[in-house]
Amino acid sequence: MIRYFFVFLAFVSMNSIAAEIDSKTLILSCREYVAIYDRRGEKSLLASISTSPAEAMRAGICRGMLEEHAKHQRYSCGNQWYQQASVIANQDPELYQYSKEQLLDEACDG
Amino acid sequence: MASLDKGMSVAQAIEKLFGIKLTKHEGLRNKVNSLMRNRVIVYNAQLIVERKSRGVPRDQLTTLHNAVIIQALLSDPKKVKRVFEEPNFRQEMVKLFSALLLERRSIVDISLLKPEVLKFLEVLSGTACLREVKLANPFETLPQLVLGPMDLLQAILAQTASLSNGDAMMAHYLNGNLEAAWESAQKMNSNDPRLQQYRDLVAREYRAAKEFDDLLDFLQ
Repeated sequence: MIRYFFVFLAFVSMNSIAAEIDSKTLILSCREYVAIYDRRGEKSLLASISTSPAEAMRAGICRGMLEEHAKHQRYSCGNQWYQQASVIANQDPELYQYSKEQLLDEACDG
Repeated sequence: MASLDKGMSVAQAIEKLFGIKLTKHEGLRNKVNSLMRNRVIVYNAQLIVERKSRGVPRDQLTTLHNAVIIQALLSDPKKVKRVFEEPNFRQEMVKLFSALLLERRSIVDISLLKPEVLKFLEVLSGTACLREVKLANPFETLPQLVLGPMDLLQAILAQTASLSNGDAMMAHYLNGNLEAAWESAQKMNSNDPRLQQYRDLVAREYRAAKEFDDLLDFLQ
């Protein structure tokens, strides 16, 4: 699982032909990340049973982008990954007008 | 407009299909209503306004009949809906039902009608549309009537003391409790190839779920 996730991230970052992940995709991805951890909190092993491969992949995108962004900040992000993902997940994917970098900045600052 | 299908009430439909008075069986009524709510049964919304109750159009009677029988085995109306809509899920469930129903005369004291069990599994394992072809009813009495608010799986689980580990494994698995299914699978001691196949499936899913949980820990 982890292996595929990193292979995918490498693919996304190296392959410029691949579709760009815009702020809308990022918001939907982070919703998935938050939803998976919420289900996991409910009952052990429930996360696996009720998460589809596509949902897991989307959640991985959110987590990967958060980490990549945090690395390039001059200061460290105050929030845990889950809180950062929640900040992004709370945006409306249809209405958000700014770039994904802006979103990631907001998540980092909390 | 004379041919306009006004349908019949849910209670009338159930009486026609199963000869059961819905008003006397609260448990079954709640379950049938949940099937109406999640739209396994497609009904005309206007009828609700006109008659202040849900009407079942005549072309939905077969669907209702099949949904009630499947629901006897799968209490979650979402899963019942998936059996209707997803061929792969339907085949998975057929295998589980076979393991649960074949080779036995009764289940939680409800007699099973052997020829009907075979017909039920035969049609369900095929590709016939469940909105068009009626399933045989394998139960002498609908489990929803005997068990009240409990569903068949809960009833089986309530008998855990007398339950074989193979049955417990199947029941926990169908009930969505992978951990308990795996524990029963560990204790299972059966030469039945069907059950062994399910033990492997449960073990595989359990390992995958554990691995996923570990990954979630790592990425938290």
